[in-house]
Amino acid sequence: MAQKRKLPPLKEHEGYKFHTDYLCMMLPLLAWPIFLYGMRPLALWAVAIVTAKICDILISRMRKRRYNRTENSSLVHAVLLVMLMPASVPYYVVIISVAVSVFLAKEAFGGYGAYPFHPTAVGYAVAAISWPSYLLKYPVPFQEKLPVWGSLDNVVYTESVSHVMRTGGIPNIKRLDLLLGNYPSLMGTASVLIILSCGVFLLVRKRINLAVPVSFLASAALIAWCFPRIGDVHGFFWQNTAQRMQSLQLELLSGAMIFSAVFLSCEPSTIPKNRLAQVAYGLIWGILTMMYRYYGTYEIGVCFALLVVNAASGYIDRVVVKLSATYKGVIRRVG
Amino acid sequence: MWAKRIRYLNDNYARIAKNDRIFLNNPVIMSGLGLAPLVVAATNGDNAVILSAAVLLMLTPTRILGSIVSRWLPFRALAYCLSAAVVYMGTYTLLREWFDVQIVTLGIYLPLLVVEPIIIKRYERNTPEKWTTALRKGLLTTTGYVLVILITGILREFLAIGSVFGYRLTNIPILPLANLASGGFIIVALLCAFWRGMVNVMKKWVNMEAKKYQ
Amino acid sequence: MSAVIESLTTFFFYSVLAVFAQNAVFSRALGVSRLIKLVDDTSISSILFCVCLCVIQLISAPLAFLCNKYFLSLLSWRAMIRPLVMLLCSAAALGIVVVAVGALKLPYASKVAQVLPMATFNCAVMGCLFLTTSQNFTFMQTMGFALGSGLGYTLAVMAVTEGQRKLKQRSVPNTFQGLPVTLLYIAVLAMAIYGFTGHMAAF
Repeated sequence: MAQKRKLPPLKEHEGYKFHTDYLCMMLPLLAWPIFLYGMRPLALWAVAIVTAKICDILISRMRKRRYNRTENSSLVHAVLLVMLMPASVPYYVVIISVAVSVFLAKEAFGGYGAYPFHPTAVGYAVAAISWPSYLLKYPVPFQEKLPVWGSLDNVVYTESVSHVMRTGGIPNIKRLDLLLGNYPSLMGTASVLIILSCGVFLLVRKRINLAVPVSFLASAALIAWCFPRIGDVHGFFWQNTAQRMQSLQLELLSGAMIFSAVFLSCEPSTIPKNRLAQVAYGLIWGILTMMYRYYGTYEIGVCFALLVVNAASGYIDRVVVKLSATYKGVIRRVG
Repeated sequence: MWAKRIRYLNDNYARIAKNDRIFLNNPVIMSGLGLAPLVVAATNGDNAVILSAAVLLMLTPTRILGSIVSRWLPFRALAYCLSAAVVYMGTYTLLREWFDVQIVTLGIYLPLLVVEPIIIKRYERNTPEKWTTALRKGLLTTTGYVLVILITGILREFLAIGSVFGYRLTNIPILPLANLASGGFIIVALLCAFWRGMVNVMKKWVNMEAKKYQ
Repeated sequence: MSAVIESLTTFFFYSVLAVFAQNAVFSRALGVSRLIKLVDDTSISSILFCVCLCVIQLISAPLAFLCNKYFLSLLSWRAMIRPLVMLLCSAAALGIVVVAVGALKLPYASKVAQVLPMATFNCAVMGCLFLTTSQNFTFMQTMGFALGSGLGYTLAVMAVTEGQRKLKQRSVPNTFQGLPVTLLYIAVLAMAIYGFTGHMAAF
């Protein structure tokens, strides 16, 4: 009788530890929206993870290769995508966005390590363009817990901090509330203190570096300081410092800026390889993000700006390497 | 009989596939021609029908007229484009008769058919073409392009709105993005990938069947 | 003086609009088929093609403006004859470029001659002419939009070339190699532009 051939055990995927660290950091981040809105964020999270898993299994069947459960990058992208949505988003929006993110943004371009665009940013762009009414209105926290299932007709919504600033107003939120995330916002992007703690952990574990996040936030901060859009600020950049400081804190602490700097900035296959090029990449990303925030249609412009700068990352790498080589050549000849 | 047919198909697969402009060598799927109207204008079934009618009226007559005019006008690109522009005048008149102001939904993509590569691409080959060959190839290319236009239009309407030719099938739209240019690119890309996959499966099947009878 | 500044502002505004918010490729898919062929074909220089396209665009746009103002707008059946008139304007621009290249005795005239027909009779050039004439742009708006359209097409060619460079090094699935993955790449960039404008470019 022919014996069933036993397949050799699969090796642990090279990115397993990297992405497991990211997944672990999602857990403290998830605690805050559960506290504000009830168990619905956890249900959305679970739906995203199950969808990503099913997509991975389907892809491995279609590409006729063994499913490796240690290749968990899809789970990370799915969870990051859910964190960029409000807690009132319908389940089907999460399922379709995650499926698009995994199938189109990741697998169609070649799978793990081969995608030129960040899958989370692509998934967010698809969701925001397709369902702007669901993604751009935020449930007020601490009203009755959002229902895990059923209609959301009795939920009270409000506009975002970014929307208020765009229409020329000044949001009335205390600094502590901004840092804690105690205001209507996206699920995982409001609690800046938790995000920064996760960032420190990822930095210590060498999952992220400082080049991209710091340069991104620095260029965004510079624009928020020099060209504030709140209030009627005139004069040179050393004048009206109180209003400029308020603009700086509102711009950086809202609109998924810190979240993107920590979790979206260091995806290895989308950023340049050269460290100086990464700084240039971060600076350009910051400038583009602020342009999207100031003049674009969607308040969370950081994901759209990320797509543009992902497209240019290879070019930035080549230009910086070439300029560095020319500069070093000049120094060697002169010295 | 079947064995003989399948062996013939396998031995001449490359030539047969090249001449089959509907499935095995569809001009849109394999060569990427005719993408502009497909991606932007073919957003629903009705638009797809109007566009298909326009292509039906323009492609083959342009190819025939171009093959005749280019014998006298050595500048082949201009010969084919002028032929297309002249044929367009008749096409526009007929489309206004059949569809009235609905043709406005196609915007500039209707007059753009005059320079659309799928209509005028023949000018790039310097060898003159007989009008009978132009007729045959024109009809085949038209069939292939119209098939893709209709599939794309119906698919995009279903995904974006949940209806087919205005008849609602579902209240939850699966992908509203399909109505926009970016969604059009995605849908055409997926259709291309799926179609090419089917063509590869067909090629492998023909090869395996032929081996059984050798 | 203020009229000059206003004209220059209009010109600059429409150029920037045509490069980014209403990019010929990413917002309207004009010339996509030609772009994909160009990026794959190593025998034709992309830079030369784009330069020729920009020059043809800048010469044919004012011709189309004049034809529209003094001829087409007077006819009730202009929609039927517009493609023919625009085609003749493009052909006239081609003729002007050919004469100029011949007169200047440029060293790469043969390469220019090979590329010029493709750079003239394509959806990007004709699309710009149709848009500026059907929406009745003023002269400055037309010139600004024509310049921006050419530059926007060049930008799209550079972006897609960069994308092809990246994708060639990666393990794209067999059925997605070539056209499908390039279209997906263009789709993502189109989404990024849509994220700024928030609405589809009118056609």
